[in-house]
Amino acid sequence: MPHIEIKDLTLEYTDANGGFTALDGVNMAVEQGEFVCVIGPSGCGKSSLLSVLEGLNKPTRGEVLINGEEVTSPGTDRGVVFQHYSLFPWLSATGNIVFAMKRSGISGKRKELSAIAHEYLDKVGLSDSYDKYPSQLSGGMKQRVAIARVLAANAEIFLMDEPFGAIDPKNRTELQELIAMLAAEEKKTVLFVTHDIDEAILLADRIIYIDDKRVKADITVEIQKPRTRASLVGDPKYNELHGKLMKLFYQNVADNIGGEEVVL
Amino acid sequence: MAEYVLTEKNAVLSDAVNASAKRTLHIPFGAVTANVLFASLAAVILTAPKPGNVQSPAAFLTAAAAIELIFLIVYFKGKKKSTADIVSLIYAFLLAWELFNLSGLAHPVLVPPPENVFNIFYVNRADMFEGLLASMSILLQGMGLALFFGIIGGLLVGYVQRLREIFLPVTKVISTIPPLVYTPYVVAVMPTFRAASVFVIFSAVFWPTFMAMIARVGSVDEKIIDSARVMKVDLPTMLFKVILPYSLPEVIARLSFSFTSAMLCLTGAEMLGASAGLGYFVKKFSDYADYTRVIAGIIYIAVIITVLNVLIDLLQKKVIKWKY
Repeated sequence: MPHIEIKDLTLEYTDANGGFTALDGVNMAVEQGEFVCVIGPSGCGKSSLLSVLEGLNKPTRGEVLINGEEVTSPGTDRGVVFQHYSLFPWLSATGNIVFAMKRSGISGKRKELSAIAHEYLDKVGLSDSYDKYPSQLSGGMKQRVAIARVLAANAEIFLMDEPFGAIDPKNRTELQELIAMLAAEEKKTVLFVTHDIDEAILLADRIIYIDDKRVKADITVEIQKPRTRASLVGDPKYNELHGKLMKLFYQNVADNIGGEEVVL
Repeated sequence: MAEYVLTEKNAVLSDAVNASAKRTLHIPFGAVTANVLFASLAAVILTAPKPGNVQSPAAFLTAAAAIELIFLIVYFKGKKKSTADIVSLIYAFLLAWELFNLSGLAHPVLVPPPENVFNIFYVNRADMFEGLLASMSILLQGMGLALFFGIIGGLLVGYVQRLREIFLPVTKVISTIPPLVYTPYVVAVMPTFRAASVFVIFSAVFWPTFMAMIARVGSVDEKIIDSARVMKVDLPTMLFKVILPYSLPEVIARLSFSFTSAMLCLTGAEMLGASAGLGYFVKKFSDYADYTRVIAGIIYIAVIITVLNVLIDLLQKKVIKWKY
């Protein structure tokens, strides 16, 4: 049984101007321990897909199953890292992690929970920021805390919605390598939304390309793990895959201009 | 071109030299001024010949010494220049007041000598302390109730969109009515003066707090709410552990403002029908044209408000330290 199964998922929003279809008949499955990147141009529906998995939106049609059970609401079996504002600004790094642990039903004295939170902060390289507030942390450090939080809350599934989209390139590379290492080490199932082709190739076991509200391609990444930026450069498999994904994005541009040949 | 660069470099260098010279020879003019003024004030009080109506200068001197002590502590702890300037201003005012009275130009009833005014703090200390207790118990009760109901009420009303859309416009209107306008009516209607005062302070603080809270809760960042929702928080946790701490800084930031308006209402109400309290003290003696006590009462109120404002500042920094 796949860890996550999405069957014929359709999501429509209704607002004052009528309806809007965000997803139209999406089918996919993610195995236990798999790292799947969902990629596509902005507005393709990839974030909407994640919001259904998070339990924030209910499907209009179809269903989402986790371990064979239908998802109807948010749950602590899923840990979420958003692009922005994942952390509560009034709690310290430790406080944020302890809050999430308590929500996941991890009980214990405040001191014990803090000690566990500190262990996870050490793991993401924040040993000297236990008591700092989010306003005192850089964007990259905040995302490290968010990652430590989902690890500490013991979620089986990580749902990450363009988590490194607002981080500068140097920190982004470090964070990508960190999440790749931690996901492998902790054997988590990860669904990672991004619009960055290189990021997807670096991290994913499988890349799902979504466009126009549907899954358009499902590509297994055959490159040996662990991967680094350096090891990817010049790898023929990387070049081939990168070209394939570029073509998918490019195809979309051509479609939008009316099917005529476009010279960039 | 090369010459120009050279001269500019020299200019920069000489600036740097000047700057370092300034640092080593730096004289804290503000602090010097403050201390010179303090010394002159003390000298005048102790040595100048006094007219017959002037009482013992002990209390006046003690007050000046107390100001000096606080100034020195604050100055050496924080080295804030503005402290010295503010203290200089106070000394200059006291000195001018003293000299004006010594010159014989001052009206003995309307402008009493500062020695006599400060002497009141000693002579009437029991009355004044009692007044402080009476006022503070009313103030704390009114403000406490108002903050409690304003924050909790605003939290619940603000969270429910329908309620929010009813109450926000209504509270906007009510909170703009200055409570002083209806104070006389409330004092007339309420069974006891104490109940009336508490009610007036309650309304002065409740409506702005309630309104600020509704507005703040209504505009909580969706992303904060989503972050909480994905952790499957229940309603009480959402309200009290997420939205409350998110909204509290807004209310705390208004606390000194709320306090000022509460104080205004309280002293105003006390002038209408109290039998004790800070405002009552001033009102009673101005009825007898005892301006020495009236001025002492006004200074007393100012000092108390200042002390309480300092406490509120400390509270703010503690409660909303995550914002700094």
